[in-house]
Amino acid sequence: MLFENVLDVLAPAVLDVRHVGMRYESREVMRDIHFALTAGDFVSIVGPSGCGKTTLLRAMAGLTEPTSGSVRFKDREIREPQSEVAIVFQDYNRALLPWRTVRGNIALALEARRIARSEHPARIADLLRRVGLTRHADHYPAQLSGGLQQRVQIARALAQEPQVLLMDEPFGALDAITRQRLQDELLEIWSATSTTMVFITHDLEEAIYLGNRIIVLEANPGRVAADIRVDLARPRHQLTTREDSRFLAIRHQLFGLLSAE
Amino acid sequence: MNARAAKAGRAAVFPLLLLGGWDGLARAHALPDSLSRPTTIVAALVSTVADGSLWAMAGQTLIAAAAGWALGSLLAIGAGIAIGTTPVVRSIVGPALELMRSVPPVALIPVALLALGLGPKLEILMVAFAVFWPVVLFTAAGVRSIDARLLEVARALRFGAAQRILHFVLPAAAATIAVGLRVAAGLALVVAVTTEIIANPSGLGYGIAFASTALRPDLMFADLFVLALLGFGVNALLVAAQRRLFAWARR
Ligand SMILES: Nc1ncnc2c1ncn2[C@@H]1O[C@H](COP(=O)(O)OP(=O)(O)O)[C@@H](O)[C@H]1O
Ligand SMILES: [Mg+2]
Repeated sequence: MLFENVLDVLAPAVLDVRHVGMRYESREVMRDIHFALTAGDFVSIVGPSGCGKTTLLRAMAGLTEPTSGSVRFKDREIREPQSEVAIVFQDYNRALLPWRTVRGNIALALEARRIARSEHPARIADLLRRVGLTRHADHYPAQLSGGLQQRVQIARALAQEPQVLLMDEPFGALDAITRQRLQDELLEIWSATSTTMVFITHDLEEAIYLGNRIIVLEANPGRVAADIRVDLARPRHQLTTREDSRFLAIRHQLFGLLSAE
Repeated sequence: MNARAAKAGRAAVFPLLLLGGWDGLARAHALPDSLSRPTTIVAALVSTVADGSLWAMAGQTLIAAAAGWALGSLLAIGAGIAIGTTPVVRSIVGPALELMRSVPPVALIPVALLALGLGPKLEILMVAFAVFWPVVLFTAAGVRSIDARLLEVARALRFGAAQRILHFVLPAAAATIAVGLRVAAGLALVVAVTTEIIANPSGLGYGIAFASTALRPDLMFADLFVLALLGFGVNALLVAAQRRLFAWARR
């Protein structure tokens, strides 16, 4: 507890989740979830399905109001979506406008920010390059594979130039190879920007590979079961990082936490 | 190209057989004279095309139908968006709408006649009224069918109501609205011609009514033929427009 407060002083919180609880009628979905995100953090959130991960992320995005507690961005209470906080939904095939091309979907975020049309081409070109979509700029979402569609959603979120990027199992529906490639691309984007990342996954290895902190939730109601530091060297490497003894130790720890239920 | 020609050829077989049978039976006096004969009808068609009267009538009908269709559709799309996006509006006007919709538009011609008198204004408003219902229903259904996730994307990006409708709701509903507009176009022609027969002495409807009282079945059938062509042409045009506009929906 004392340690937490010291950290707060050293690196001020960007996003502050304060004793958040959530009920749907008589059903308690989250109870007293409390943690703070420091600027530049890469936080993975893991937990069994139904433990409230999506609900928590939506509260952090300002899409749902918690029934108790609050979420603050810097000194502002989040009650509705904030321009500094972007969200990437799990279901990329539903989150893109099917009538707009890749370029048009990315432009949406620029339009939302009222950025001058004349600036769009250069910004879009840069975003396309960062997520490796340059060749697909004029394709419609339906013409793209799942991995490419999720890249479009990530590019659109980056176009918001957010300080916090929230992602809900973004790679959950992708095949293993595509998934690993996107993990590395995401880490590159993260190291090139100072964006604070919140990454929900049910894949323990993915959580360790990406994060420098893992928040473990347990279910019924959703609570924080553990908050783990990940001190693995960066840049991470798909083979060597996953073979690192500390990686395996954390994996054991997470496995124990999640199968204890 | 050959396949297309063959297809067109096959499509022509049935109408040609029908016309041949009709002509044969009429020549053998097996049909009442009031049904005329294809060859006489073609002659009437040629002469009315030549003196320009057929074009003028077709033009009057088409313009009135198009004007009423545009007016009714525009109002209906606005109303449909309000109904589709706002539950309060939906619960207030929904039941009344269902009731109004079940009044056959043609039954209102006598009522409108009292209020507006004979003339093109009556025709346009009748068409607009008739067209309003299918378009409002298709629009409201299209608007409501938008994926909740897309509305959440609009919220997350902090779009205002007007932008949300413009960039999310309307495009999402467009394909459904287009179906409504096509249904409405067919209806527009029907109501335009009916109004012309009953209450507005112009266009093909009046032409048909006039030919009937003047005992000129050949003219009557010539007008009907043009009317069929008009309906066919309008539909083909709208189908082509739909294809172009919604290319994104096809993989
Ligand atoms: N809008 C809602 N109404 C009622 N129950 C909900 C709603 N949203 C989520 N829940 C319930 O809350 C629990 C947590 O859901 P969710 O946050 O989606 O979990 P996770 O993302 O961890 O799988 C689930 O049991 C789910 O059924
Ligand atoms: Mg979830």
